[in-house]
Amino acid sequence: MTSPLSRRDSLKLAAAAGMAGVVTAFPGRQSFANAHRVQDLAVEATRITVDGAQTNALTIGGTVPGPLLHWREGEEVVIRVTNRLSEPTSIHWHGLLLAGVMDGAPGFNGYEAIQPGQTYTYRFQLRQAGTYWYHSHSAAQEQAGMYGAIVIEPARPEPVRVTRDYVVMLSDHSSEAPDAIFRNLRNREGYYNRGQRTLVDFMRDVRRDGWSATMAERMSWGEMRMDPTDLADVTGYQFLVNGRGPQDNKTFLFTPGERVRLRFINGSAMSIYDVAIPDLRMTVISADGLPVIPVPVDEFRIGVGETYDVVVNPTEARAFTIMSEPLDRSGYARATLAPRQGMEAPIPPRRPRTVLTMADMGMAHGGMAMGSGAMAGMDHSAMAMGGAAAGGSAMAGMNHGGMPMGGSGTGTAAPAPAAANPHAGHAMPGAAAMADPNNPLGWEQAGTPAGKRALRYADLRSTRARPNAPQPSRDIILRLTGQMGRYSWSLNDRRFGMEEGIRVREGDRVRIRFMNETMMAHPMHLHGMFMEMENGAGDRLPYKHVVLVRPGAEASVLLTADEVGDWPLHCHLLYHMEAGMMTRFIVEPARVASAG
Amino acid sequence: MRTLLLAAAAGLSFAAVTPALAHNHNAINSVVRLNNFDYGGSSQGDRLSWDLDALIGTYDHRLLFRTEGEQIRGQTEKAEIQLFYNRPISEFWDVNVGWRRDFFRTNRNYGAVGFRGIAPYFFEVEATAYVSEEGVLSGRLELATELLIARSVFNDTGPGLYLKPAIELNASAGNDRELEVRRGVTDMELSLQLRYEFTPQIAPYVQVGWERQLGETANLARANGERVANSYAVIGIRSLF
Repeated sequence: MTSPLSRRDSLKLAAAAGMAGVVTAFPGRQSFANAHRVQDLAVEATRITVDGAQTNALTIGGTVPGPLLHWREGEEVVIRVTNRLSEPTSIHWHGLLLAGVMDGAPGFNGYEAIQPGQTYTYRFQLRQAGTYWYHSHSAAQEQAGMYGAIVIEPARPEPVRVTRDYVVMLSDHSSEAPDAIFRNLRNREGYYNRGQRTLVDFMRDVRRDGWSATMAERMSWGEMRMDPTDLADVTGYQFLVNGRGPQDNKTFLFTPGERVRLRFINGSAMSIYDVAIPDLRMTVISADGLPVIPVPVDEFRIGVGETYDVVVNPTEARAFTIMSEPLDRSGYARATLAPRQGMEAPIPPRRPRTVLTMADMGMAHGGMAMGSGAMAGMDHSAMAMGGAAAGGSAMAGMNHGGMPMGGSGTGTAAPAPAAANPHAGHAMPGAAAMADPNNPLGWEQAGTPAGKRALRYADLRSTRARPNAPQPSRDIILRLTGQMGRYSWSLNDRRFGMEEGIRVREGDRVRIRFMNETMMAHPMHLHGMFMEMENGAGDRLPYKHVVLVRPGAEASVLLTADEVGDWPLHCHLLYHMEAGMMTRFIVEPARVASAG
Repeated sequence: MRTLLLAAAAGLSFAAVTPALAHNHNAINSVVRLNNFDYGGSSQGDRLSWDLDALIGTYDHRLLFRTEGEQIRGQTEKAEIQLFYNRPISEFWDVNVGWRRDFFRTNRNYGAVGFRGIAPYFFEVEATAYVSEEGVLSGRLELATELLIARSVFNDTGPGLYLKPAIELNASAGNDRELEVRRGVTDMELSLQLRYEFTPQIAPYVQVGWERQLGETANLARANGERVANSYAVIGIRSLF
């Protein structure tokens, strides 16, 4: 299996990165005549057609998504990226372990944006296998179409044998320009939210839950000045599979009896999906590129930037719909698995949009007066979780209602939640069974049909056991903060550029505790290193480059800071990052212990 | 190896001072909001009114321009502009510091300081204190809230129907002869707006309201033979650019 690099290798690479930053004025702009494999990619503005309608797009290599980059572990790749836009651009290799200057995030690691007309040559050795992706890291270009998939074949044959191997890249595409979307978000709270509850909904809830329960629930939200229907900041998207709309119906072929590997990548700007293939069980075999002990599921939730590889084994000669519904249910991405082109399976009934509860604000245990109806979704699911998680994590989100917790900056804050929250971030099976799929309450509720099983983060167990992994030497608290009304998003209350960054020493083993004080889920992404998500998997914590932290909750990760550099650590919701939800994770070289 | 690592360290410090080029998180943003622009009838004759503001700035520092006015039977009854430096002070509150100029009855300049924001239960609040160039202190309080009645019956993600009650109160701590203002609560306006919002850019509405002068100011107006109350019904448009 893939193993992260040895310490010694990483030292060398780190040194090389540092050199590049100092010695060459334009790192990476040399020519590499001896390259093992060279790929040229041009970035240009064009128009694309989705479901028969044309929109503007920015493309890498002329298409949306960009070309599939199919590589092999261990080889050195050279990619020459030419900017044919009238603005600076960049390409970031999402999830890849590489020298910082090749990471492609302007302003970090000495990498600078590629200016119009210029070509930048990326060159790096592939130190891992699996499913990854690449995208622009400049402004909001990613939203306009600048993303593509990377598949790296392992150096040694994989234990997973399949006949067919497909990339299923989910994305969201808007006819509005990304800058206009961002401006709208800043100019009017809830600009895109068309799901707010109405007086009509209020009457319905009164009939169902009674006047006092309904009133108390509405007053709780009113008191906090928050909106329980705020599931996605942006609407008006077309949801795409490999650049194709639901009408285009991207079709993946199989012959009955074959094992098919589907590499799901969520390359969206803002959309978190619930993915299911009705009548077809999926076995999850890897998460964020690296293998996990296989988990059979019926559906999974995929955060922005995450990847899951699943294997399916359709035995009937019929079509299956690959259905991906964004959390706000404002549409769906659809593709088809079929023995022949042109076959279709029914579109499953559209799932209802969930309504957030006080529990999503971390308030379920804070003694808020709540209607029993409103409590059913979350509170019981919290109990179904078992373990120590519920009480502690439930406290994390109280900043909003004017209840101060700690100051700004990293420091002590909040009553210590259980450090390892085995269920952070995903749906619980008990909840699904108990909840009403037609009237979902709480962020966790995916509307999973009765008897079906949704992937939970707790199910992810790395194939690689690390029984002797050292304990972290310290906890880094990262509160996920924001002001919805101003569309200001931050970490520890500081927007990017106004924060100091997080400093660790090379080789340090640390825990990062993401404490979500907002009512939105944030897919937190670290460049340059894998995080080991503390999901209760003991010595098999899964490696992740994105951890989806659910509203009002805490998730924690461990990592060994073995990649020297200054790495972006940010929310992968594009406009949250744009608004400032980003910081520097700076790994300083350990000078003394290095010579060996 | 050692040399390389030192170089690496130097590289890092180089990187640390490089400004972030990827994302400009303090990019200047601007918006113009036409809050009210309407025309209709009132008990004193046909009535035109406007309320427009414009914001420009970063997250932390902004300029706010606002103009409000009203004409009845073609005669200007109120016309003012305000220019504020606006700064957030908490998640839900901003402070305004600046200047106001009235053009009606007489030209009058004021220094202004106030705050605006969202109070619990989604009440929009704006409260401003003014000192006129004549040295008279006055104050204005505006409160409004919005109720989403329903979405389009054809499409639950379509246009919304909103009901917006609002109140405005003005008071003065002194007399101003030219402005015909006396000490005390000087006037108020109550309104109820029913708005059909196709998009935030296109939101037509109907509105009814009642304006009245109060206290000594009203007595002064009556003594001058003016009417102190006016009720109106208008149609108008709200927009956002």
